[in-house]
Amino acid sequence: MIKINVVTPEGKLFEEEASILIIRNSDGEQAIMKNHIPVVITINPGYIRLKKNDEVLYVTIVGGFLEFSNNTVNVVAQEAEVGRDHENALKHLAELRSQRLSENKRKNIDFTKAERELREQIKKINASKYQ
Amino acid sequence: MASGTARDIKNKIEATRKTSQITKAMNMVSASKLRRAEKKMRDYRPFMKNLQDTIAQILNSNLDLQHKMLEKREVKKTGYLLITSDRGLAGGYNNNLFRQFLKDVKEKYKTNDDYYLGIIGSKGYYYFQAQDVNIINKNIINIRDDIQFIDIVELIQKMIDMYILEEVDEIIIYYNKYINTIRQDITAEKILPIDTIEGDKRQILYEFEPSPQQVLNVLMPIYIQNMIYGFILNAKTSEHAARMTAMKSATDNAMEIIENLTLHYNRARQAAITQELTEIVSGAAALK
Repeated sequence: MIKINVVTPEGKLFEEEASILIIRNSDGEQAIMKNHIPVVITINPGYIRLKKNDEVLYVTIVGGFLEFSNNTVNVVAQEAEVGRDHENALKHLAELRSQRLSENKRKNIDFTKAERELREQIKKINASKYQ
Repeated sequence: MASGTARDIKNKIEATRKTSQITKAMNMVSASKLRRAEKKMRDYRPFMKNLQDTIAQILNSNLDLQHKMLEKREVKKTGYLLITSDRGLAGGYNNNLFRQFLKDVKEKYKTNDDYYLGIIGSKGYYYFQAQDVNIINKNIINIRDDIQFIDIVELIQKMIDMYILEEVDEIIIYYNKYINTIRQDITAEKILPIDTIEGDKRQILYEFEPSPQQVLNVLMPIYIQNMIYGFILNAKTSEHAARMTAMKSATDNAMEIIENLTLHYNRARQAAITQELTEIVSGAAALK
């Protein structure tokens, strides 16, 4: 069995064991089985297919690499998603990104609005004070 | 008259007490956010260590590899990255950073055209927007409490691109370095070019797919992006710590004011009673 760790900047995402992994990146597919020689493979973007008995899992990765030695795989990824299929994962990650950015923008606008209202209110209060 | 001042003081005490309640709540909120930020910093470390070790491994085993980010070149223009906050009420967190930065820049350059500025956090953006400096980001880059990598990646990538295209020849970051809850130091650190990448020496000979140079080409930008992300997490922790300390001293000050005002209030009350008594006594004396 091969041990797999997936880490992202947000912390450890996923830990699992598998008998075979197939790595898909821009160069094509590559498989790693037990006792493979130590290897570093970049994945940007792509996915890893894990097989354990009959189960298949996909780890979709944007910006990262995997490092294999001593039957342990360390996957280091900027963004990653684990799931039963890989087709929607990239789209989902992109969606999350754009959602987040538009949310930031909206929050800025809300905050600026609230700030302006507050300033106006303060002005009104001060104006009434000296009359 | 005397009872009038007593009432004024009482109102003031009440107002100060309410303020102190708010500042105390903010202190507690910041304390819990600080804990969360510290956890985030801890979670990020294994990721960075892994990345660092791998790059060190590539560089150690292939000495002839080259990458623009590892080469020093003559510095004509500098890119600065300032990490400020989105919200205020954090003591001197932002202002000290601005002051230090402007002081350093004034000593180093004749004109503001000699450097570019990338700013994270809306406070910094508003501050420098009004000044005559070259700002890289056209929008506010938010630094929320639940900061995520995607919030900042656009700006960082732009700065890395500028470095690669030789628009800037070095990148320096300014941030509040977290020492402990009561101490945060303003620190300037050079990010690019990279001097050395230290990592554990592993006694394993790796194969690199597709090739060592290509692996390095992919990993270097990721490394820089995440190094900066690490600084941002650190700065965020500092922000919470700074706000916590600021709110703590605000609460303490409010308590002191309340104490003083209570003293005044009691004095005014006593004076009013004494006056009334004197009036009654002298009124009774006049009747005799």
